[in-house]
Amino acid sequence: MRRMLSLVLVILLLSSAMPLAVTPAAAYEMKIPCDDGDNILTKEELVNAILPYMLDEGEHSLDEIGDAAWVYAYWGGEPKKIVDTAGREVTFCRPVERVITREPDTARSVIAVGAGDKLVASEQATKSCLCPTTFETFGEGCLDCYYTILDGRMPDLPETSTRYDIYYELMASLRPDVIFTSSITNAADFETKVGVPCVVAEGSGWVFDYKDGVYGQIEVVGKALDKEDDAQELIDFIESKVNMVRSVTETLNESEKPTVYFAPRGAGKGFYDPKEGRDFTRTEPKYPPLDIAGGINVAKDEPGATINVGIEQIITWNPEYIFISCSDPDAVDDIDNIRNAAFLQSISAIQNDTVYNCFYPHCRGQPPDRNLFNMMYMAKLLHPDEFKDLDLEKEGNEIFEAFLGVDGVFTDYADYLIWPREYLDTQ
Amino acid sequence: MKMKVVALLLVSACLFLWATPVMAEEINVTRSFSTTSPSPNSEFNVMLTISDLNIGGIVETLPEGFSYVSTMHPSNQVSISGQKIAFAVINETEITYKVKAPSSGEGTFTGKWVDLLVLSPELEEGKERWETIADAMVVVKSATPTVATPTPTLATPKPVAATTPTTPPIPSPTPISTSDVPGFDAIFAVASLAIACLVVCRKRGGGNTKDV
Repeated sequence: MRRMLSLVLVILLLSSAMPLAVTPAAAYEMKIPCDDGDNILTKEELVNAILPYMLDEGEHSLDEIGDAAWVYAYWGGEPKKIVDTAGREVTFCRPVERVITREPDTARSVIAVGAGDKLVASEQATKSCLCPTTFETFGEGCLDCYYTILDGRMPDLPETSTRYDIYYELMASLRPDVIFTSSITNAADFETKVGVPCVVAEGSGWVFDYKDGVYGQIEVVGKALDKEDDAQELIDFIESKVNMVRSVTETLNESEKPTVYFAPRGAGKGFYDPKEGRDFTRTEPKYPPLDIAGGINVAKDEPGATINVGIEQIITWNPEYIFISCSDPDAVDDIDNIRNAAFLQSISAIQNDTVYNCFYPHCRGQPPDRNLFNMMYMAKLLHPDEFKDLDLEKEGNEIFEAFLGVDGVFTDYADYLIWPREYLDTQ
Repeated sequence: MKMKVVALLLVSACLFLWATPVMAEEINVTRSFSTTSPSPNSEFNVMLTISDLNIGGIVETLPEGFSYVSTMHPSNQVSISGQKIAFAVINETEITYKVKAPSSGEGTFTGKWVDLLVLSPELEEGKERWETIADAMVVVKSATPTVATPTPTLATPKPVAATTPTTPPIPSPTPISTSDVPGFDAIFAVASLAIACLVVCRKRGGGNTKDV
């Protein structure tokens, strides 16, 4: 009998726990505030919420009435629907005032369209990737930027995910109105577990285009945040920089464009990284900043993206230039591993001493500011006469400011990394 | 000589206006009265001038002894509770309401307004967002006969709960009106002053022109 009772008790406990496990922490109400339920907010419904509120007799909060006023004024009184980059239709019943992003890249786009004040949490590396600083310690790098961006909130910005983990409960407790992610992988989980709309804003920061590129990401972020004009202005800015370089390099004959091997993951681990394949033998067959800069990527005909190649293949390609990405001042001499490697001495770039550091195109994503600047830097290295008047420091600061709203970031970045400062001093 | 000085003053006024940066228009609500010293038991108008508040709420509190009579504001956008009158603002730029003065005494009109088109990440927004309309004192004249000023007939507001949507649906408001472009007034002022300068100079016989 006692056993029977225990069993019933266990079943009862389990059945009460089941709904808790599947119910989102804070379900998003698919209803316009102050509306009677038909999701068409009329002037009368809005007025009938405002008047009692002003007389301290209303049932709605200022936040609800403000949201309703926004829906009435800007959305014609109806829910707003957008289509994200994954083709999903996302519906908003109130304006976005609190944002969480899954990655640094989406956080940067939110700030870049002028909605940084809405960012309430992001991924762990956002703190060191937006204003380039030392990961987790924040002891060196663009510290002025780190401490001033987001009105000084960056150091205390809640971290709701890492490279491997997502903290759904923490996300829900912060009561976001939307979650931006650059991958569809967890989109459904965000909506069911956190209970808010999730917008997929994909787009590589080194593809300066709408399709699969940063323009698409910026555009959809702008739409979700009612910042379409700011988004367009940013896209136009990027495009103007791309055109500035392209207008010069597209006039060059193919024979005037040198061949380049690009190592986007540096060269600090002895040519090959057995754990993640991230070292000198890792390359990107498609890296548009290099193409726009007037270089011929020796890996361009290789299928796919992000590949590892054999040392022999690099020797066979015999590039005229080698660009090795460097984002750490302690790794500045890694370039010598390549320059001094006995088995690479037959390569033209080694013989001509045209092996250079370049800017790291990754930071838990593909930061468009650094990649846009990489394009200019590579153009100046590959075609110094054509770009002799290009003021890289001025351009760099302008680019970072366009994305982060902080001046002088590139100057600090060049000083921190050392090698860019040494290069700039020779110009 | 006098004309020269006038012309010089006009030119420098033009230049000053030209060089002064155009200040961004600020959202604000101000109150004015048809009179601040009404006769006993007379009715007078209170005008609320609304700048750039596209959707918002206003609450006015009448001093004891003064009573609300009517308003030209849409009747379903007004609500009264005791001495408080609430107005819903949906793109209106002015609200006028009529008040009846007591037989004697004085009192201070107070008021608050709130802009409802402000997005904020704050979770608990409240009355800290409310702004104040400057207090204004009204003193009832001591009893002497006065000529009543004719005032237009105003609508009587209905209680909010009983409001029936009698107004036709209006198009979505356009919060930024091109006619409200900041600095437009300044441009007109500069143009007018420039024309005035020209007229003055012409009248002087064009001192700088050479006879040929």
